[in-house]
Amino acid sequence: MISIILGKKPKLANEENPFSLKFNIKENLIVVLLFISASIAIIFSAAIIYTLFNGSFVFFSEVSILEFLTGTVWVPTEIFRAFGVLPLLSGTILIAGGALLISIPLGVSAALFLSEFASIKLRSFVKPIIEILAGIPSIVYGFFALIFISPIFRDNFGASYFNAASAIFAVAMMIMPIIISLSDDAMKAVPNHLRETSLALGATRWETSTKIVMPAASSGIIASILLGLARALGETMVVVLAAGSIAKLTLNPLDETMTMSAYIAKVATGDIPPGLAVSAGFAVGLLLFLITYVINTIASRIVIQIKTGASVKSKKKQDQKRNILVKILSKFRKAITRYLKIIREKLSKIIYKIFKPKPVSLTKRYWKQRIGITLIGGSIVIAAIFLVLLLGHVLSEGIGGINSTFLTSYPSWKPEKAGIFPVIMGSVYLMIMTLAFTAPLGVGAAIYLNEFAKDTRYTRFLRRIIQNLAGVPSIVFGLMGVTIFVTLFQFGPSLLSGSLILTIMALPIVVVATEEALKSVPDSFREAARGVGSTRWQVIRHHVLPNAAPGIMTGIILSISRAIGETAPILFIVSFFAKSAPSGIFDSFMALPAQIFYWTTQPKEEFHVLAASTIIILLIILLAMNAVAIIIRHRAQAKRDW
Amino acid sequence: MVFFNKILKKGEIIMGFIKQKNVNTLVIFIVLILSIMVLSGCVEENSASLPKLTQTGSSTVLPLAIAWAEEFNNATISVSGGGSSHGLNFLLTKQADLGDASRLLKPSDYEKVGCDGDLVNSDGTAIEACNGVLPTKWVVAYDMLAVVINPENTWATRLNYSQLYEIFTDDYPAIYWDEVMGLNQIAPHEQIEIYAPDEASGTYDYFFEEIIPNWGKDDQQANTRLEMENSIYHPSADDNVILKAIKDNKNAIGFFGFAYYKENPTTVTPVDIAEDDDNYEDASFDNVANYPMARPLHIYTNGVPKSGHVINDYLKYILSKEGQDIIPLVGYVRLSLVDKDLITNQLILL
Repeated sequence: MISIILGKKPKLANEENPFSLKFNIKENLIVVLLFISASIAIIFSAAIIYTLFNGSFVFFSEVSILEFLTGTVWVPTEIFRAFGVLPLLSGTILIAGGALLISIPLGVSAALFLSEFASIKLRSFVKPIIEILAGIPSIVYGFFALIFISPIFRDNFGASYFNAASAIFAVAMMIMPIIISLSDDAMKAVPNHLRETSLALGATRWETSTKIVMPAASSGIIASILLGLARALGETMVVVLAAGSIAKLTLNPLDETMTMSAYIAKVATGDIPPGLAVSAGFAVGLLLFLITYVINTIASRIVIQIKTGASVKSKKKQDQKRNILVKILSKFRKAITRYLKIIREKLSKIIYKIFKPKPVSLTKRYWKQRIGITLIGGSIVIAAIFLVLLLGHVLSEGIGGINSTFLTSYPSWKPEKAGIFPVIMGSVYLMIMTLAFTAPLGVGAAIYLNEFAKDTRYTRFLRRIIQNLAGVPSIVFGLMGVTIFVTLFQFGPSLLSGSLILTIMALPIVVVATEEALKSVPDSFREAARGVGSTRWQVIRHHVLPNAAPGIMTGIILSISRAIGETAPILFIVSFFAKSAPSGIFDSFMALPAQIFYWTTQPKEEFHVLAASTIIILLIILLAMNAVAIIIRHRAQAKRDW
Repeated sequence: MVFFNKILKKGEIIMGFIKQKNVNTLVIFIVLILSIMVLSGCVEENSASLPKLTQTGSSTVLPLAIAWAEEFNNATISVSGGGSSHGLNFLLTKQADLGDASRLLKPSDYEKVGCDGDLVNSDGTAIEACNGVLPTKWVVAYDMLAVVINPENTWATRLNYSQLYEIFTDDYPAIYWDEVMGLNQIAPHEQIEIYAPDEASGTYDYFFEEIIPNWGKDDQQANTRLEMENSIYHPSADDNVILKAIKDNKNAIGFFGFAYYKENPTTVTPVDIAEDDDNYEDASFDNVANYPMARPLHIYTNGVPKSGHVINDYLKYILSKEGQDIIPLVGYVRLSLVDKDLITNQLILL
C-alpha cells in the first residue's frame, strides 16, 4: 500500500522471493511507529515541565526564589503575602520521615524473613498479598487514617483533631509493601554461593543473612527505601484527609500540619481566588517535582548498578575521569579509604584488647538466631495485623450499605436513595480508555527500547525520561492535565482528559513491565528465528511477543489497576453529580475514588457508610484485576519450558 | 494458605478452558467483554437523549446544585465543584453552561480571561459581554453561617461582632475565655480552641469579611487568628471534622454553614449573634432576614436564557416552589424567607 502511495511498483531485492522488499517497507514503518510511541514520553515530560514553569511564572516574577525557599511563614493570601515554603517542607519531611522510621525496620526485616527464612509455601502465599497491599488506593488509607487511626491518637495522646501521626501511620502502611517487595528482590538476587560459603565456614543462618546477605544487598535495600520515600513525599490523599491544612513549622507529630502536595490539592479544590495563591501552588508543585526527581534519579542509578553489576556511565563521563583533577580526587579517595582501613583495623585490635571477647558458644548463637527470626517474623505479623484492621474496619462499616439500590442508583443527595452505578461506569470507561491508550503506547515503546534501539545517547535519554515519569507525584499529573488537556487542548473536564492523565501515569509502569517480559525471552529464540530467515519484526511478532505475552498482560493489568485507584490527579476534573453514565469521550464523568473522597467529606454519617461501601466495590474490582494478573503469571511460569 | 491455593487452582481450571487455544484466545475474550461493556453503555445512553448541561463552581453551592440537578427531569446536568472562581472562569470561557458562585463577580474574574475589569459592576453584574459571554446573576438561595460552641458551654451562647473579633483575629486576641470582653465574670479560665474552615474556603472569607473591617483591602484592620504563629485556630476543609472537634472539646468555638448545624442539631449549640453591641439575633431559618451572617448564593448564566431553552426551564424550576422546597432540606435558606420579592422579580425576566 505504501508503494502505491509512493506511486511506483515496489522493486524486489530478490525476484525469487516476493517478500524481500515488501516486508522491509512494512518493517520500517513499524519501527518508526514504535520509535514514535517511545518518544511520546518526551512530549509528556515536556508537558509537565511546561505546566510547572508556566504556572509558577507569575509567582516567581513577584516573589523572589530566596524568599520562597528560606521563608518560615506560609500564608498565601493576597493581603498577608507570606510565601516561605519551609513550613510546607517541614510538614512533608515530618510525614515522609516519620513514615520511613516505621516502615524501614518493619519492611526490611519482613523482607529479610521472606527472602531468607520463609518456606516456599509461605512465600508464595505472602508475596501476592504484599502486591495486593501495594495496589490498595491511597484514598482508602486516607479514609482509614481519618476514621480509625486519628481517634486513637486523639484519645490517648492528646493529639489535635487533625494530626500528622495518623497520616504518618497510614503512609507508612502504604509504602511498606514497596520496601518489602523491592528489598526482598534485592536479597533474593544475592548469589547463593555467598550464602553457601558463609554456612560452610560455620556461620549460623542468622549470621549469614544479617552479615553476608544484607550487606551484599544493601544498595538494593537503599533503592527500595528511596522509592518508598519518593512515594511518601508525593502522597496527597492521606494527608489531605488526615493531617490537617495549616502550614506550621513544626516536627511534632501530634500537631496538625500541611504538606506540599496537600497545598496543591487545596489550590485545585478550594475557593482560592485566581492570582498569586494559585500560582504559588504551581511553584510548590515545581519544588516537589524537583525533590522527587533527585531522589528517583539516585534510586534508579542504584537499581541499574545492581542489575548490571557495574556502574553505568556514559562515555563522556568516562572521558572526564581522565581529567587531572578527577585523577587527583580519586587518588585522594583511595588514600582515604586505605587510611580508614588501617584505622579500623587498629581500632578493632584495641577493642579486642579491652574487651577480650570470649568465643560465643554455639547454643548462644542459635538462641540469637531463634530470637532474631522470631522478631523479623513478628514484623510480618504486624504488617498482617495492619491489613486485617484496615480491611476489617472498611468491611464492617461498609458491607451493610451494599444492596441493589446502591449498585443501580445514582449518587443522590439523599443517602437512602444514593448509589454508584454511573460512578462504576465512569471508572470502567476510564479504565477502558486508559487501556486503549496505554497498551499500544507502552508495549510499542518497550519493544522499541528492548529490540530495536541501539545504545545511543537518545536511547539512554529516553530511558531516563520514562524512569523519571514513573516517579512524578500523582498530584503533579493533575496540575498538568488541567493545564494541558482541559485548558490548552480544550478537551474540558472530560473522560478523554481523565484517561489521558491516567495514561501518562500508567505508561512508565507498562514500559518497565513489558521490557522485563521481553528480556525474559531467551536470546536463543531470536537467534534461531533470525537464522531461518525471519525479519526482525517477524521474530518479534511470532516468537518474542507470544512468549512475553503473559508478562506483558500482567504488567498492563497491574498498571491500569494502579491508575484506576488514583484520586489526586483526577480530583480536579471529575463532576460530582450526574444521573447517567458518560456516553461520549467529551462527557464529564465521576470515578469511584473521587466519589469516596466526596462522600468522606460530607457531613451526614450515612455518607461515610456509602464511602466505605464504595471502597469495598473499588477493592473488589482491583482485587479481581490483581487476581487475574497473578493467575496469568502463575500459569505462564508453570507452562514455561525454557 | 490452603484457601489461597484453592483460588489459584480454581483460576487454573478457568484458564484450563482457554489453555489449548493459547493466550490469544484470552486476549480476544477480554476484548469481547470490554466491547460488550462499551456497547451496553452506549445502548443505555441512547434511551435517555435529554439535553446535557454542565454546571460547575462554588463548593458551597455544590450540594444544592446536586440536589436540583437530580430533581430536575428535563436535562442531564453534570455538576462539579472547584470554587467560585473556577465556576465563573469556566462560564466566561464557555466550558460550562452554568457557573455557581457564593460571591459576586469581581473585576479580577474578567481580567483573568483577558477582558477589562472596569466592565464589572459592584453588584456583581457586567455592563458588557466578555468574549461573547455576558455573565448574568441569579440569586437562588441564601447561605447562613452558624457560629457554634460545645453544648456544655454556657457562657458564650450570645456574642457580638466585637467579641468575635477578639476571639477570631490577631488584634489583641483573647487567649482564655475569661479574657473576652463581657465574659470576664461568667467564663472559666480555659484556653479558647477554634475549629473552623481553612482559608481556601469561601465560608472563611465570608466570615472574616463580616467581622474584620476593610477585609481584603490594603488597610485591613487585622489578620485572622489562622495567620498567627502557634495559633489555636485549627482549620479544616471538611465541615464535618469541625463539627466533631467542637463536639469533643468543651472550650471549642467555630463556624460553618448552617447546613451542617441543621444536620446535627444536638451535637453543638449555635450562638446568637449581634452585629452591634446588643441586638442579639438567634440563628434559625425563620430569623434569616435579621440574622447578620447570611449571604446570597448565585448561579451565573450567559445572558438571560430564551424562553423555551432548557436553561430557562432549569432556572424557572429552581425559583419554583418545588425547587425552593429542596433548599431547607440541604440546609440553606429559601429566598422567600429573606425577601419576598426576590423570586417574582427574577421570574419576570425569564
